[in-house]
Amino acid sequence: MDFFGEQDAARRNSRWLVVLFMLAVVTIVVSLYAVIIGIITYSDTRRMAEPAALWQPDLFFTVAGVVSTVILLSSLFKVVQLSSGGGVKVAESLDGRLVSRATDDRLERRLLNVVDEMAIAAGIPVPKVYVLDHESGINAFAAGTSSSDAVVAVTRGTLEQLNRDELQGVIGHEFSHIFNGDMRLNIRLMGVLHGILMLALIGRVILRGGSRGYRVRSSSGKKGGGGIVLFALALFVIGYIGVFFGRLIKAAVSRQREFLADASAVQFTRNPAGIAGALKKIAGLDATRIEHPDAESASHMFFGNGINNFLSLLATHPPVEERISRLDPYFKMDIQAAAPSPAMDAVQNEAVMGFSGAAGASERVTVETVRSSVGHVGQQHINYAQTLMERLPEPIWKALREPQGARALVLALVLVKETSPKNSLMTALPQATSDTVLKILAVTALLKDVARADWLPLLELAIPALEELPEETLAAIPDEVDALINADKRVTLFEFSLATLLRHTLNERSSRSRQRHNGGLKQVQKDVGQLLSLMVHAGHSEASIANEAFEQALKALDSNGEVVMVERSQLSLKTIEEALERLNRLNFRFKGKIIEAATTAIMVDGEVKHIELDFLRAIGASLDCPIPPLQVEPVSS
Amino acid sequence: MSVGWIVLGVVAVVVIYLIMIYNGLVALRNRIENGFAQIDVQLQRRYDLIPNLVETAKGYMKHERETLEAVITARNAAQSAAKHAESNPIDGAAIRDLAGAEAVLGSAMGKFFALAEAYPDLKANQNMMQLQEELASTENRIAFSRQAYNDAVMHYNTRRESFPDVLIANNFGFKEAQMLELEDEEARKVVKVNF
Repeated sequence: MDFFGEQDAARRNSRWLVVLFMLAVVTIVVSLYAVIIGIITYSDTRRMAEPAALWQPDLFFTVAGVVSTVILLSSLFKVVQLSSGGGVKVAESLDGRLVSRATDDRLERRLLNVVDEMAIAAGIPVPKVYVLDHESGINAFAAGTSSSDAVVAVTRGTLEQLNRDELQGVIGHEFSHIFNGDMRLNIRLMGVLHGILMLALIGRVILRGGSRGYRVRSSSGKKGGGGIVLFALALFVIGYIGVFFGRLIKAAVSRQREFLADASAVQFTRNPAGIAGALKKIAGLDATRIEHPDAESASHMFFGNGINNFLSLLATHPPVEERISRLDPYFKMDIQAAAPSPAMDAVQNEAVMGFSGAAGASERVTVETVRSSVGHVGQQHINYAQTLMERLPEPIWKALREPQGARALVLALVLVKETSPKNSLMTALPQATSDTVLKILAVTALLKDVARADWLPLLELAIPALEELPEETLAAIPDEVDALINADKRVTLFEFSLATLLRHTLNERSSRSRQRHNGGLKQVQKDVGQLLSLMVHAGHSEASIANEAFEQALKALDSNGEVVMVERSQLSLKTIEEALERLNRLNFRFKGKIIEAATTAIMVDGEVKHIELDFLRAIGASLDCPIPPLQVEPVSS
Repeated sequence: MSVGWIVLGVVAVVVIYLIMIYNGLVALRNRIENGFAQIDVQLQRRYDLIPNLVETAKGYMKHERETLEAVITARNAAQSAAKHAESNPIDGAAIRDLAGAEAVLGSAMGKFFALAEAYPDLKANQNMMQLQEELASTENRIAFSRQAYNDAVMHYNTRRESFPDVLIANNFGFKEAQMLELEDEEARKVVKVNF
């Protein structure tokens, strides 16, 4: 997760929303002014013939002045009221208990420590800490208008159900609210909202009194009350419309600040798993509800949605699922693979933690997951790596540890599919010693017991040991691989993927200097067409499905250029290699598009073949967008 | 007349803007200084905790005198290195000495905790559990204070180099700040605290 980027985006969004909020106030002034002009035009019978001038600066500034004064005064009143007593008052009104600095309780001690740690990470003074003893849900809040009078409070449930890392994430989130002045912003917005509400209230009061007075006065025969009633009605209606939109905007601001706080929690802890874990527990337990009757007035400060709000537009917090998936791009797959029920998700997490010996839960590969997995290593991949290590036969393991063994393994990967590996080896590497040949052949035989899906990941496991080889030997390996591949005068797509991945990983580490290509997809549409065509042909033998896949891929590409599908017979791996080289100079955004398109092409028939995945990873590697091994149960071709 | 007012208004806005930039830079710079002070405070906190830990463990680990003594010796060495580094913060050698002493302390603590595994009574001891929590927290604080320092430096440097802040920064002596990097590979290892 790019937490600095996320923070910038959330800050920018909330800034715009605040501007929008101010615009709403301006709109109120303008519409009130328009109403007054209208009333003057239609009530003044003497000037019926010529309408009142639309622009009357004196009148406008009077309206603007009066409205702003009303809003300003009542919001000042509200702000003072809300911020008096600081955070302490809020915490105490929710029956919070101040945690003594000298506490002996283990959980409280831990809480205080975590708060101290986060204060250091955020670089702000340590706030007072409260516990809500009677709340068993998982939730927390920060209150107070400045970092010096801020408090942090957590529920008893938070203390008991979260582990240290998760608690740290939650506290980090609350610290972001303090650090970024979210409570102050929120109180100000609430103040202005109150000011707008005051306009509506004034309208209502005049309406009531006025209509009564009108009746009295109309009996006495005086005129002019009608204008006032109309004006009051306008005040009432505009005020309430303003309050409605103001609430919507305020809720939107609040949701942006939540994203900001989640991203900052990651900045403070450098551990997205902590806060994501806490959110997952909330999603699983659905226990963020705060039972206290006063909770609503403090809802914006909570960690999770403290009160149920059926109108999602008015929700102060974004949906938990969305928050988690921003922190953990793999979260979506979990729900898809297991079940929509959060309880199942928890069970699956248990399974992932290790006591089931299975290869881990299979995931459904979607375009979204591939895209988001570019350059990300998640818990799944670490688990995959661990189970892979357990699955591998001991001799392969040994081979991976020493440089010559790793070299033999890489060469064996090319040979494993050949009918007569020995002959190919003799033709390709005539100068190899018999010792080497035997070693390679032995590893080749072992590889037959390794699952097809693990072949390419083996290559990556071999890289570290390979790099211990002397420079010349290491540099020769890609050529040796090429020689082996060409030994039978035939290049399979797997061989191509293997060679590409190898060359790329080795080159990447030695030198990387490349000029950038600043154009869009249009300049390279021929290359894109070739790449996607190969992808399509590799995965789908039937022409109709291949065509359909290509169409879908084009849609995903979303380019207005002419990307043409190429016949299978006209594709050569040489041209693909050159195409990849050119494509690598593209801007990252376009590379993402290409990977998305290629993934779409795979998905069309709903089955994923090993070769498709391998090729996808080779494309990813050569475009500098590494894709970690995806755990799927592909249909073998 | 009115043109004069407009010019005056524009000038006032610009001046206020520049003052805001200046104050923003000052705030960021102070955050860096505070971050640096924190690291020192937390190292000290750890030196204070270790004797308590050893004192508690003594009653249970009667046959591990050597390990306990090694921990205390390493702690004392690290503390004096820290004092030395504190009085010469610009001295690279002093910082390196501190990193070295910290590494020795780290490995002594590692050995201590490995041995403590064999004493279930000690692990169940209320006092010991609390001390372990404190120590784990202190390790976190040290890490967080380094990280906060580096984040503060990054923000400050970014602001300092971007337009228009760079105009103010160059004219009012806002110098580039340096990130903290551990020079010693050993110092990257953190004491592992088990629960």
